[in-house]
Amino acid sequence: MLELNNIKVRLGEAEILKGINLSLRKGERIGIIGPNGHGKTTAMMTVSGLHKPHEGSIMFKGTQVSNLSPQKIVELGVILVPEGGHLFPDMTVYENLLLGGYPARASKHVKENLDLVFTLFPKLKVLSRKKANTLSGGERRMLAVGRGLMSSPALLMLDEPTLGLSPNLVEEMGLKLNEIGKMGTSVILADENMDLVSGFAERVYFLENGEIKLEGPTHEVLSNDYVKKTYLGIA
Amino acid sequence: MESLLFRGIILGSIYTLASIGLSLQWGVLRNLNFSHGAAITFGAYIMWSAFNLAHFPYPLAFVLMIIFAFILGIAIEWLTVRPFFGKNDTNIFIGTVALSSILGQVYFLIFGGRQKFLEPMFDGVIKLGSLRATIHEIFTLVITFITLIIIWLVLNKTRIGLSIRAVSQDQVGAVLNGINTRKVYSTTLGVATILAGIAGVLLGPIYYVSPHMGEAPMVKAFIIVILGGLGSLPGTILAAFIVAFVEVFVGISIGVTWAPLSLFIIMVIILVFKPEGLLGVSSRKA
Amino acid sequence: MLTKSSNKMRPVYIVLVILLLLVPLIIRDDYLMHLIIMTCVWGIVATNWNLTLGYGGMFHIAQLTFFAVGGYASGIGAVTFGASPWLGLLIGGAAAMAASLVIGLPSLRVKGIYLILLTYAFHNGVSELVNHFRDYTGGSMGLLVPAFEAGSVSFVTHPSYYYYMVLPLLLFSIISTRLIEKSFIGKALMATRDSEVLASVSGINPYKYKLVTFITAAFISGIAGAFYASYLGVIGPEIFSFSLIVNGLGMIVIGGMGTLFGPIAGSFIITFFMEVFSSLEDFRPILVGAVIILALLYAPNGVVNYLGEMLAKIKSRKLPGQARESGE
Repeated sequence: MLELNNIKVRLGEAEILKGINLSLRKGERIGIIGPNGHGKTTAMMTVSGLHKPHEGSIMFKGTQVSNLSPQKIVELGVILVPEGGHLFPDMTVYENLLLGGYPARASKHVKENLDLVFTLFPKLKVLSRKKANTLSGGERRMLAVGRGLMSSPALLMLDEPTLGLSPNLVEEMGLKLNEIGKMGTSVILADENMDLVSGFAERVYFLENGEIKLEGPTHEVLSNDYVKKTYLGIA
Repeated sequence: MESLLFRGIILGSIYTLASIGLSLQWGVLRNLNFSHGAAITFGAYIMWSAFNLAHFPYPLAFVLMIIFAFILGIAIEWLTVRPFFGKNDTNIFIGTVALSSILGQVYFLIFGGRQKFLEPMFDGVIKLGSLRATIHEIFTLVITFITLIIIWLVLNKTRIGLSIRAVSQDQVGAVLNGINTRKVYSTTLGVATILAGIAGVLLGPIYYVSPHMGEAPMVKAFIIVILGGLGSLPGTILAAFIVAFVEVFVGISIGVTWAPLSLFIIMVIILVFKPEGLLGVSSRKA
Repeated sequence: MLTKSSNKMRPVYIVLVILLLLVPLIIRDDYLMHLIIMTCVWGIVATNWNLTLGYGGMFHIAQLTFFAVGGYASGIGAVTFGASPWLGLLIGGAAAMAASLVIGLPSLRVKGIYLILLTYAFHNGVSELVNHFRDYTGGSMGLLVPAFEAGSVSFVTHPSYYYYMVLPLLLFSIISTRLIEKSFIGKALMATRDSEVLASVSGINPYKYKLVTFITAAFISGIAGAFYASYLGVIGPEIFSFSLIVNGLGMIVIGGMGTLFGPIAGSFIITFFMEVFSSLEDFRPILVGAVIILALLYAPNGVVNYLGEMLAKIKSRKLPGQARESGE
């Protein structure tokens, strides 16, 4: 469904991605791990069209998307829940969710999606009239994921959805993500938290210095000595 | 005293309309548009032409003005904002300054330097107790009120309004939700220009219509959006009335030429000591 | 491109200065001389504006305020206190310097749109002051300023005398721009312009340097303003007009922001442009505005650089892919 072929991205002077190959089947759940600042976020933003690769191609459902505008890519169903959420701070929870349903592909399904989000995150329903900037860290993450779901994603990309959350909130988020995975949506999860990734992803890519150093079934990659040493050792 | 208060309220209404578009624009683009004054003048001239040359009825002339103002706003965005947006703020400033100069001269060539009188929709005077008000002043209040309600409805209840707010609160978030930011930019400038145009139409019968009539209100609009806090609509409305009252009361009590000076002093004090303005949230983002 | 220079260029500069000194001997037409003098006056304003704006990254419009303050100060000095226009030059420079302190101390603490608006507010504020104190400023009528005299010789009939007064001022502007650019002040300013964060990390306090540059530029512009008032014989509130801001910005943009000779080229282009198209009269401001926007769109490094690039392109047509971008 998604195919990254030798993607190279430069931001300013530095080449952040040095030829990434990545593929994802429909309904698959993959994880991207690797030290911070080594290209995870850039890779996802590039898929979303926020960065343009100077080399390589990105195919989504048979369409070349690397030259499309972010808006068009969203309309194809590629939804990124960015690091930090990028919520609309001065809007209510409800309005934030409504904006998740802004793309034409999702605007007909606002009601169903809203039901889905409120079933998954009942707390958001209680908070729906509160402004986003009054929410706690955990609530914001939920809202960010919920807003992503509002867009009827065919592929949902989650960038650090548990960054800064307490262990029990991380666990809760893990359960929710598994429920999302069960719905048949393809998911790419990039997270620092190894437990979360190992409990969620079927396959894992290990990204270091802008290159995929290792890929394979989750347990294989996570038990690799090099990964353990350079990454898990720190984490 | 009542008449002074009333005059302040009328002036405050017009200033609200003249400045709220700038505030919206700042929210979305983090930029101010120096052809806003020319947009105010534009509204007055379109109205004058539709009314006096084409002899359209007032409501039709008003609708026509709104359509033309929207088109002008989109043109301003296309010519002086889009090419430089995100790359060079200085060029946006110089571009809108140059455009303003072009527009002012175009008005001069078409309409001449002589002042024109824009007739109000309703002539006449009414008495409310000791207060003597022209019907145009009442009309100004009504139009301002209706316009503000429409703006509020558009921003809160429509798709485009929601996307305008989204872009002004988080650009990246807006893009990731599939919002076409370019459309939002040009729509915002279109709406801002309509608001400026309405201000021009309301100013016309109070002052006269001349090629540079919009410049003085634009300067005041700048003071207002800074005072209110860039991007804050409630702050802008509050500041518009503060500026109007200062102008009216200083003008009466100390002297007319002191009014602009006192406004200028207020602006300097605010910019130096509280650049985020009265109700501003985000400070020094420029 | 234009800023590139080295010791090898020194002979070129010397020849250029000699040529400039010879101008009044070559050009015998008074009107042409007048245009050249105006080019020099605007060249001074634009060069100093560019020093603060192009090199210093302070986006402000105070340069015209200083110009106006200089003109009015010398005018008031002459009319109210009977000061000679020669003394007026000094009065103008000093007044502009004082104004630059009053404006710069608060304004240079902010940047971006706040700096633009604050200096715009000051510009309008000074204009309001002039309007307010009409007993001294002549209100909307302006002031009649006496011409320069040496002994019993009035300069009015000798445009070349004016030229020899204004040329050194222009050369001084260029040299001071160059000196500031090369000094640690210039380095600090350009570092700040390019990255405020980086500059502050390396311990640069931009405020101090900005202020020094601002005041220097104001002083020269003030003298130019005094010269201008005496040269034209009148100073009026038109000096605050919006179209002068547009023209001034146009000179910098068309000539090339942040280049040494760009603003002078821009002053030349705009001054002569206004003359060449004098038959078009009221269409000229539209043309100037249009040229500015076109320059912003298609020649963001200035028309001079743009033409240079075009030339280079034509020359190297056989070698495609080269000379695509200027080094600036």
